[in-house]
Amino acid sequence: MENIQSLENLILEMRRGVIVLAVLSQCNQEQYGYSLMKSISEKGLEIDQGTLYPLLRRLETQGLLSSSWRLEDARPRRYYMISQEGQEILPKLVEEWESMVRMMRHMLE
Amino acid sequence: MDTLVDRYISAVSDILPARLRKDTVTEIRSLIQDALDDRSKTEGRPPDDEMMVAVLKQFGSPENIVSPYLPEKYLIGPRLFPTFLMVIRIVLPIIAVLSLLGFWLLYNLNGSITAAEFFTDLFKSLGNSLSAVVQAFGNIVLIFAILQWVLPEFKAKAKEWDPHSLKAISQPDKIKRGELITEIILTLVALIIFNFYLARVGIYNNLNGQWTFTPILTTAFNAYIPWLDLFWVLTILLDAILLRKGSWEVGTRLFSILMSAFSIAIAASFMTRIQYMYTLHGALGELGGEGMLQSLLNQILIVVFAIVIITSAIKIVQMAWQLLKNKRL
Repeated sequence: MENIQSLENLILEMRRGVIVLAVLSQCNQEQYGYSLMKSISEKGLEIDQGTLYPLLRRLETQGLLSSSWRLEDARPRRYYMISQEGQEILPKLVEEWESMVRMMRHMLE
Repeated sequence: MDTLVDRYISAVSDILPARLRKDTVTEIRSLIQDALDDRSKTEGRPPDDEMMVAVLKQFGSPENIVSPYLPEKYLIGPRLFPTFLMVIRIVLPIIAVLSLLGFWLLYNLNGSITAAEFFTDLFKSLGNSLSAVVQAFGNIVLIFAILQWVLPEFKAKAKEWDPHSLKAISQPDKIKRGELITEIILTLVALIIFNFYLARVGIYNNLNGQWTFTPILTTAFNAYIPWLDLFWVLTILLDAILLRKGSWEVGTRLFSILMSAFSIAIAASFMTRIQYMYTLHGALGELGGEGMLQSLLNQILIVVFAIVIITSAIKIVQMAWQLLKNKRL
């Protein structure tokens, strides 16, 4: 039981490392929080709401995302989109990710 | 009537700081609404209480959803905590020992107290000591909490780090042979002098080309000789064991703690009876002024014994700390 818990924690920790890349890659078009979570989830990566929403704020503070409030169906929604700075950083992160995948494959062979 | 979502948002709002409240609350409400709409669409029915409960359970408690939005706050943060621990480890044992010293002084000044009075004073003193320690702990926490609040964020030093700046690994169990041998020799000298040449301990004066000798130690001091002998013999025994074993072990550390306690008892007793231990009467011959000199000397000796007591108390704490540390390892 304890081993299963440890395994889950280890997997969670591994996934945490790729969330930023996943979020930035999905923000090429404007997305509001819930739609972004659904879109990432449909592609197989489950992100907890308590992780995603504060992360969006953090990425905005870091200048990698920009946000704007919009009124839709009499309801305010905050839309996020990758910023100019984010667009410059994303390819570098993708390159780094691919290099890490190659390195890990080589290591695990 | 307020819905469960309204209550949830109100609870979230109460936890958030004012500067984040409006924006974060609007966003969380919008996210909950999106989740409700999605669930309603999937289940093909309008949102109801049951649906709200399910969605809010997904979001977790208000504290849970708010915590990632807030920066971590510390009463004493990681950058100050090691210093805080160091200060606590130094200050609290000293305060505890000094408070207990008050008991020893009280006990020694009132030498004729009964056993019941002794235990009453002992418990009072332990209570006072505990209270002083708790108060000091509170004050130290308060000072560090203020420092945490006032000091600007710590930035790592940019200058190049040199591995040679690393401190050598301390070896608390390693003995210092030179110190032990010196202690054995000096203790033997003290044993010989105070047991075989006690009558020759005094002040030698060369007045008008003639040597005069005035003994200074009193019978009150002589009463302590058996205790001093016991202390010195045990000191030599401990040093000899340490030299033989080559390092500190549990037994020798416990032995050392007892010896330090013994030295505190002797020093405290000397401190309170110092005026009866020696006399300078007639020691300065025609020069006179022995009374004033003895009074001055008494003050100096009291300070010396106080230093001995504090040093021994620190040694007890260090030895006890090493015992606990080795046990944990």
